[in-house]
Amino acid sequence: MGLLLGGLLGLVAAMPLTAQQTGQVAGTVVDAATMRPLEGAQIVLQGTQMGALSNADGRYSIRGVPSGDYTVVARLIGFGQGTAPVTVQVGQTATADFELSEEALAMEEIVVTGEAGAARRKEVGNAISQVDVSQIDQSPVNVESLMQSQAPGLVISETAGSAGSGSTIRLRGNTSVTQGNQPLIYVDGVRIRSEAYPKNVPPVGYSGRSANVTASPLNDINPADIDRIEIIKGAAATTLYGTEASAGVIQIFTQRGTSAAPSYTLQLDQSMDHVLAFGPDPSDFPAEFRDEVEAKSHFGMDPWLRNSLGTKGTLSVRGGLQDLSYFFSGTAEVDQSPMPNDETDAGGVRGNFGWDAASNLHVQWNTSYNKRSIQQTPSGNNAHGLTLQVYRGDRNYVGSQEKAVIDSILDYDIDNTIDHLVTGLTTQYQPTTDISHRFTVGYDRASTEGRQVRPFGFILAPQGIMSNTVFTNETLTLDYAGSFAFDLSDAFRTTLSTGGQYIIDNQRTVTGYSQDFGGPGLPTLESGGLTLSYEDRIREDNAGFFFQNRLGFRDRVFLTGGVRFDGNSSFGEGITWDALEVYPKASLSYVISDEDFWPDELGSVKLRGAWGMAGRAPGAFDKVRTWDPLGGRLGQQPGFIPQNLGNPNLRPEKTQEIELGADMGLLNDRLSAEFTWYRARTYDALLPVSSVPSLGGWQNQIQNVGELLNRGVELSLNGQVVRNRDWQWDLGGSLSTNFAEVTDLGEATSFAVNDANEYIIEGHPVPVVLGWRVTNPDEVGEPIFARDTLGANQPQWVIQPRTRLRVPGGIVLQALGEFQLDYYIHDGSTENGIVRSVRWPTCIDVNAAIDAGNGDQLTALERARCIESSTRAGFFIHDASFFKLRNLSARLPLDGLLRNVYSGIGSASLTLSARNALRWIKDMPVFDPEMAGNYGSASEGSVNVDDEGDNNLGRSLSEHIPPPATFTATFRVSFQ
Amino acid sequence: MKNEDRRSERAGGGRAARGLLALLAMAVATAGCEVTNPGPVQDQFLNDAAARAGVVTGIKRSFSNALAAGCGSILGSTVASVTRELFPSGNPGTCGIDTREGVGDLSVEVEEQDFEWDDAQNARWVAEDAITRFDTTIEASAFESSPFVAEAMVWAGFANRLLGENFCEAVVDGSGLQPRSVFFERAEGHFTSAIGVASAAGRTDLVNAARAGRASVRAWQGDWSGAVDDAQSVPVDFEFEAEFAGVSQDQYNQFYWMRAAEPYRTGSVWNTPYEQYYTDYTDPRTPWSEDPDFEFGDLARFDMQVPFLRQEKYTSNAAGIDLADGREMILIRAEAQLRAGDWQDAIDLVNDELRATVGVDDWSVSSEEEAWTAFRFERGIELWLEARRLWDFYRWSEEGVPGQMQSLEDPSNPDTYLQSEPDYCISVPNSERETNDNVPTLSG
Repeated sequence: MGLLLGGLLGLVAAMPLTAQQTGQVAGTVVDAATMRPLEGAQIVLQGTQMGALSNADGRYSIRGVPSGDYTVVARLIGFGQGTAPVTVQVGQTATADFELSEEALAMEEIVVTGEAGAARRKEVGNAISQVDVSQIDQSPVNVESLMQSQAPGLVISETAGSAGSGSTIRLRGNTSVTQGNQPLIYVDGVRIRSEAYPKNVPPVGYSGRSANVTASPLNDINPADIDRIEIIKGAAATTLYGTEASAGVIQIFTQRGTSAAPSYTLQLDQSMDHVLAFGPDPSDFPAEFRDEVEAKSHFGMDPWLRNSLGTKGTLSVRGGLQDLSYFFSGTAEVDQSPMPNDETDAGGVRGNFGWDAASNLHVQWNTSYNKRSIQQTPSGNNAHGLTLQVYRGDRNYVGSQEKAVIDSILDYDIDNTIDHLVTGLTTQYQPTTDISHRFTVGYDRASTEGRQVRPFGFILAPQGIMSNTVFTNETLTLDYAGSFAFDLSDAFRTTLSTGGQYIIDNQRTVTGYSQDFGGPGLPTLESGGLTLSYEDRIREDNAGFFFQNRLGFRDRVFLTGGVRFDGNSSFGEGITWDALEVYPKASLSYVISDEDFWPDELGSVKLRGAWGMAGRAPGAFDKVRTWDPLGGRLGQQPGFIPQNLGNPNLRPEKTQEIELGADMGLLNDRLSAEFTWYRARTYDALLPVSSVPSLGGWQNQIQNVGELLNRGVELSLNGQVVRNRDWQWDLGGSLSTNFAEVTDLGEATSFAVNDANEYIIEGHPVPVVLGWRVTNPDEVGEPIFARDTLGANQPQWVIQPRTRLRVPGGIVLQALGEFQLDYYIHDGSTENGIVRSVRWPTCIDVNAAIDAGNGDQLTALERARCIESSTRAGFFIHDASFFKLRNLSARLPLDGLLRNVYSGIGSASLTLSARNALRWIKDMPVFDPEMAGNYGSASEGSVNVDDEGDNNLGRSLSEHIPPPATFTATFRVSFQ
Repeated sequence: MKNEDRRSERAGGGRAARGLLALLAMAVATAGCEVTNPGPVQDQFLNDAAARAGVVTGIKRSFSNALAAGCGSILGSTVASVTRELFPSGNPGTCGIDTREGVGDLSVEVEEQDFEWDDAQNARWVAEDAITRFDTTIEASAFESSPFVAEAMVWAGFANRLLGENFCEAVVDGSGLQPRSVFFERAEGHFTSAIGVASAAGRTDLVNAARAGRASVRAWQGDWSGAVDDAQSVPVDFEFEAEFAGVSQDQYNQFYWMRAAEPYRTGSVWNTPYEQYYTDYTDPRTPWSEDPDFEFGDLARFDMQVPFLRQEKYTSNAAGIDLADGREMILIRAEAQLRAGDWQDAIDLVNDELRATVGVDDWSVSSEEEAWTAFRFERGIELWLEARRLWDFYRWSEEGVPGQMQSLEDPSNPDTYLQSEPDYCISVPNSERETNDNVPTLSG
């Protein structure tokens, strides 16, 4: 490591530093249609690394430009590229103003993710989505909500209304059964931890003694720091990331400085969370029961739920000095959540520095540090939790429904502290316009302290219990990419690229446990009569290199071929030359509308197709036969019990994907359309193959035996219905499908995942929900059950409609919705209540009939859904299709008003937004489909496919509250 | 740009490219390093002499795990519920008695039996694997007198007995279905070997454990004289226990944890033969009490809230469970006498050596039928909550021995809430059938 850093420093030192007399380039960037200033446009001097960003007024300046002739290029997502020639003279300012036109297909737009270096969008043969943060008016709660519903094929499912709960992110569905499906996350070229932080739970006993939600490292990033996000979804696009990338890649680019005078931005958010009603719908009941049902609007949780407030402030400054540019930001947040103990206190700082060491050498150093402190209320399937006590009514574990008694549960403290440092140094060197080098060294340190205390005298553990888990994940990224482009002829141009990555991932977990305190007081781990300690350390290395060639023909046809070679320490043979995995790729992009024969009235069209492979490595210990050292876990006697059978022949599972699509700009670029069809086959899928119990009772052996198939389409349409200086109405949306199927289990047999209602069965979705149906629902008598596969556990259809309306005065209204359709989910909360004979609110009419002595007149369906002895586990499964209005916002410009007060105001606005404020649920009779929580481990009898928390293959509901509706007022002002 | 500048920058570019390539080469070279993570112990380390004590501890832990450790589907609670040593009173999932096992269904469709079989086979395999490991890593002369070997053999014997007493058929190391007696034969072999090695090692406790174990499995194979020979050699106050610990829930004594009120109360003495018996006799071998804080179990079973009467035999999470003891040897001798028709002496032996020693009234019987009835219940009392009762019901039913079940363990009594013909052995489950080509699946 030291050698590498030394080498890097040597490299920088080797660069020529030319000191010349300079001038500057400056100008403005506006929307050609409306003449409104465009903020965030990237201005570069072609063939150099020098550039700037336009500010809120659309102004930019590039200082320290050596005298000479240049071509200035202006780019902004969603707009066509602008170019202007300038001549820079010493001590003078050359002006280049731009009027950019919105362009349905931004062919010249530069994309980075998945490419060897960078590429123009027209050259890329696979689908790539960009989220331009400047176009989102709503102040997002976090990065996950920022991305939600912003790209077809991206499904972000919320998990609960608890503080700190992260979402489940899927790109084109599940492509792995055992190795997780969370996409890789990069921030400014540095890989950060993708998986959720470990759940805060004691190391011994039931794994649900927790709030049963997990926080996402992605949400440590301050959304206000983000410039744009690039998302690539399948193996055809992620090949150059190799072994870990089959679930897709999300890359976040944070804001950079400019070479202009300092510009400040202040953003203040005041929010309120409100839990929408849940519980049975009164209109489903006869009139005499409606009042009683209505009284259960939050399932009895009303006394504990609150309209919680949150306050957040972010101040940033962007500017530059000669060859240096900088972006600083700081943020602070206090955010309550609806549950009584829930609160998040967060803060963070960021410093992004750019240095134009020479006109062809740019060094960028970005660093952020964020800290979050999250207090949570015990919830989920936790018999020591608040929600479970309330939902279980007279059958709860505290033996009372009195608020004062249940309040004693709130003595249970669950505290999480997250520290997250991301730093990365990227050197971009362009010795000529045709040659480029980029080298990144990055370091991500994500750590948590999960502490929880049930104090002495706690109602359900009178002697007291506490635990403390300190988890640290360090990821070191070394990444090089180099390109050399040259013309083969007038028509052909080729770009050769090569590069490599080395990723070292280190995880350390140290856990202490203590119980039986001597008396009241604030305990530490040493306070208990019994103390236990645990430690896990896992390092995983991945090294790879690639070659790629892109052949362009007349700047409209681009054929790309590449191959990546990977070694990984978890492969059976470790990282050796003999064990390198090969991931090839090929793609074709054809801008057919550039052909002479193409009628202009048909608009611009790019046809594209891509084929490629990516992988997923096995777990760090999967290859080795190991025994669990018991330590003190049989009294005080150390010992060994079987743990992992091991498989020395393990290789990564590989996903091979083909996608075909077209990008179209129609009706004079007023309508953009993107269509993609994809088909991904995961072979050598890592599946748990049950060993023969009589051969030793090793539970499962991971083997490369399975095959999965993912297929679907993605369609995105965005149109400008009205567009003039005063009015603009955009209407659009996206539709995506994903049908995942287990096509071959190999030697493995069908098995359950998560709560044992979601299964991996050949010929069915990944996973499929297996449950019981009543075959005689209307018959008076006992139910007859039949077990059947009911459907996919992940949404198979996602529709994201959107609209944006700008009215005179610059007021902008936005609405963004999301349908997640055609999937099934198990309502474990209701099942847990019914099988405990809880008088469940959905059974008010049935219980009334029983109380009246008419129980013998109940139908089979009524008995199955309300009577303990008549129902069975796995019956409470529903079509979970739903719609939520993810965002509804109104932005009011305040520039003019505030400029009367202070002339230095650049832009100012007040945005009122509502998130998840409107909801439609198709079939769930009681709960919201987005309250599955994160359990982080499978139940007994099912395969623990992932122990990270957010990667649970299946989802089922448990005793949570749904994500609340959030109403936010955001004041944003930029000034100099 | 001037040509001079370009040449200068190209030269810089060349140095940069070389620097970058050097970095990449270093990264690749570094990539050749092997990554070894600490924590889990690799298999070969168990061959070290210093690991032998740990290997034996692992055997004991595996056995306890199969018998009655922690929560979930474990033989101890299954046997207790079918034979109504305990009545299901709470959660059928976590820490409780499965719904179908609670009515006596132990057929192959009950998925919980996968875990019971897997754990029991694991206990057998771990012990037998240790013997094989010791055989290959200890010199022959030392092997014959090694206390580690002796202990592994004793546990291998009890693990085979556990399988034989509870599962309907035998499968060993991937074999086809065999009669369950195969487990008893293997157990006898291990016990016999253990007696020799333990004697050479000077471990009287292990000799007694092996003799007590062998007495039982000899009896189950019909060798009652051999069983009596062994039984008579075991001191009446000798006890050999499966070990549990209060360190973490996964090693708690399951019967203790089922009665604990934080938060589950999943097994009750209510509506079992032992409820009334203890009321009548206050026999210290079957104690129970009411819980002052909780009148009922965790949840309703059989559409009623089940009164919660907690067992008091195991009052700590670390309480051991007898696998063999001198008092069971009395029972073996008494049963041998009953089978020989000497029912008066059999009952006298029970009354004098067992009941009198704990201060409870004698059984008073006047016929062989009554003697068998009393004896059968006496075994239930003496071996209460030790996962032994299922085998008694099975073998007595198969042989048609005289005597009656207690009313609240007799499925013909609707108050038991048992199905009409409960299963008294556990079918070889799907976990074996679906992975072992030599064992037919349910569909044949």
